[in-house]
Amino acid sequence: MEKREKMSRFETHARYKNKLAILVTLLAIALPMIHAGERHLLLFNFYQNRFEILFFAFEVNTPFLAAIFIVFAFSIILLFNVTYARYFCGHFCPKTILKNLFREVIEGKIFKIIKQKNIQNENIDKKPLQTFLAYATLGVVTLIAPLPFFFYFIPCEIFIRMLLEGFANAPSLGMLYGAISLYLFAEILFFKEFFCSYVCPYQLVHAITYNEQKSYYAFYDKEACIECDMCVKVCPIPDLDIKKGYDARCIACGDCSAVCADMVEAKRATPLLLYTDAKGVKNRSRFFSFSDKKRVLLLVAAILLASIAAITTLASSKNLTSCNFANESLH
Amino acid sequence: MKQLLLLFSLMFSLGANDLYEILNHDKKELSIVLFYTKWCPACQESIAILNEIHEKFQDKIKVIAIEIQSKSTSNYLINTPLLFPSIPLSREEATRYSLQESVPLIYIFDKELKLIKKQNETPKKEYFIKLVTRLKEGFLANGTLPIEQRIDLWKKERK
Repeated sequence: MEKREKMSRFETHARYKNKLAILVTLLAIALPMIHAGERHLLLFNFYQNRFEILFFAFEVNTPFLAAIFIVFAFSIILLFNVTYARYFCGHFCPKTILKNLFREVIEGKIFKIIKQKNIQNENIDKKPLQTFLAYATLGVVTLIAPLPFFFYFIPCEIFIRMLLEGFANAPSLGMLYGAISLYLFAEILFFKEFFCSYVCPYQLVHAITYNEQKSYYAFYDKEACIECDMCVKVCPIPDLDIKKGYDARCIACGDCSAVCADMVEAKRATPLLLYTDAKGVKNRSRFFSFSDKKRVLLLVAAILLASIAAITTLASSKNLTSCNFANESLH
Repeated sequence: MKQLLLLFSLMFSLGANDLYEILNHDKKELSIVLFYTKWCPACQESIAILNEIHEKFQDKIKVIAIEIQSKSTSNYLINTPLLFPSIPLSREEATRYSLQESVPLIYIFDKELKLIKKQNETPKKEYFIKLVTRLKEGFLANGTLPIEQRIDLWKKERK
């Protein structure tokens, strides 16, 4: 009875994360598919050389379209960095969602190789058949996973047609598709959080814009700690000890905080790990990564204005060097 | 006058050999053929550039435009007047001249009607000026000497 109560906080946290993951996945898949007539909600249409946003469409040549995509992606990275900071990595990042799908659903629930998040289960039984089947399932999942990514660049019906043709007319696209799915497979099995910590552009932007007001999960009451080390065991990043202080690799998934709440609940009402900042403002709003709300809103407005200005200049018809017959109705 | 008559007769039907005939009729050092449509902003720019080229090098460069006709559902229409002759042609017929997905399509021929360059985007004025000066100085279109004028140094040194 007592045990069930102890698990509750972690379970509610996991349930919240799963719901968020499903919502984000559905949104990410649906976004490039929504269209009114020929015009999509968001599509960097490299197939017909047009940039489609909010049901408006502009003819743009390939290099400018690539530039628009880079500006768009970078402004999204900056926007999330000034608001959710690394809370994004643990909750919204599609790669984290895929990783959690493998670890918790495929490995945890379907093939029961590991119990959820290794809690009270340090000795993992070796089950070769189940492991092989789990890897095979992961292979199938990673073959499907890059599809929504490509739908942002080529209209989905055209991309599926190309896929069914076996990329006969676009072999390089097929190779790119294969490379991405192979990379996803390799990353989830072997690289794990290495990408998030050292390669991901989001993390790099976060690292160079470090600010002492930025929020992260911090351990603040060393005296009350019961030294159960659950926060270290539950952490998805290998060798990360949250108790040692701020760590740039932390993806703010919040597992340590939830598990800590369960462990210390008997003694205290609040967990020892909280979403906080270096100045000690505890349990902050997730949206305002800087505790100064005015500053966040100002930064958001500045980034939005700058990116809109950059994209409108790039999408201007003055930059056109050739026009596609498919885009006749856009002019 | 003869050229005008020829053009007039070709306005109605432009066969596979007809473009060659037009080009062959009054040969100049360079011939430029532009495929364009009225709704395309990139074509507008190409026409402006070719107008300048046509005015500047009237005796050296011959410019011919071929307008690809369309339903013209667009609001954007080119208003720049063309200073060189233009022939209407449907898109299906233009595929014979290997017109594909996009306009402008530009062919540049030399005096012997050998294809120098084919490009599928707005041309640059500097390129034509460079081309004319190269041909004037006796170089080939790509900036090298004709084969018979080339001196192979390694052959000379061998003897």
